[in-house]
Amino acid sequence: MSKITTLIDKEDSVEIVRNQIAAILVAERDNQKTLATAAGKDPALWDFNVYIERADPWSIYQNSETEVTPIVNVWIDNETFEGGASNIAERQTANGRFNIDIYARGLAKDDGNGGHTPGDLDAALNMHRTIRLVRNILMAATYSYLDLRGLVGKRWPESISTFQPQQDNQQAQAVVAARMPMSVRYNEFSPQVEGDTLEQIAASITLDPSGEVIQATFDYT
Amino acid sequence: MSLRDQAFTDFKDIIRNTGEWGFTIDKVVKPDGSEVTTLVGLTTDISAAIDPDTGQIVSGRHISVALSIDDFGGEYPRNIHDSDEKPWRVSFKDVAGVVYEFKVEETIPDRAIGSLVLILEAYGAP
Repeated sequence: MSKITTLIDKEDSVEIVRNQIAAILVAERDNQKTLATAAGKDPALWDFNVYIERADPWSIYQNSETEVTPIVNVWIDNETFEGGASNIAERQTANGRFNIDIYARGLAKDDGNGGHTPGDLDAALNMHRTIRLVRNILMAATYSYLDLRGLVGKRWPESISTFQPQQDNQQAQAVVAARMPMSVRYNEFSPQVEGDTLEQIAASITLDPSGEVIQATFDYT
Repeated sequence: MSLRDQAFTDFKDIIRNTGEWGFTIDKVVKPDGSEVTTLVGLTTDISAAIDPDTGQIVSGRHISVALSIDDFGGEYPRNIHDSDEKPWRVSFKDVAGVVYEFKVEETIPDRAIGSLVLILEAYGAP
């Protein structure tokens, strides 16, 4: 026999935080590209595609000869709960780990000066440029609480790890990846018991400017 | 003729047989811009790879060409690490007739049997 009488159709805080991380990256990426254009610089250097919960966002690199826009994928790794900072009925304090994966492709090509740009170097530099943008955006002071003050208590980058391509399985595409796990502390809430109205008591008074009560009604039925 | 020489001859017969798996390589371009043309060899361009750690098939693109070691007169194509130089480049068509240009990423010569396998990397316009 069920006891929860309300429909559970709201996102959990962990989902809200994940989506907010992605939304912040998209908004600031677009603004950075606008600022770059205004500064007379190539906005493509501030460009990256943002995804959430994708298993293989890099497939575009496989299917395109020239696509080199870096990819950022935000996904929920795990969520742990602090018993000492929570209560059993309504609110649990949680620490979520959100993996922010960056994939960047480099393309070996002529440099127009008699030499060439090695693809592996191009991929690594593209990746480091993108992780630089991601870290600076998410750790900016204005996003101390990921614009979710009241829900988020703290956000912190755990580390930045890079993944080198395999040397004994050379692929035609030069792709380098990195991961920045981000820890976020926030509250999770759960359905509450809806109480039944046993008795309704209401009182109303009317005061004159001196504060004297000139009329009162008290309903105790 | 020794068995080793016979093996070398047989290898060239196999990779240069256009009636079977031999395929015309459009050109191999050296770093100095000179070209080696009219080569025939074996080519692969598949979008699957085997993860050497797990043995599982993973998505990727593996491109290679097998040529004879005597196609280049002693100076083999190799990976050019120095960005001040142009790389060795190889061009050939896929079965649909689309021409692709690649950079030589790794060279695997077998100087006993005379094979030269070039592992290729995608190469784009500047």
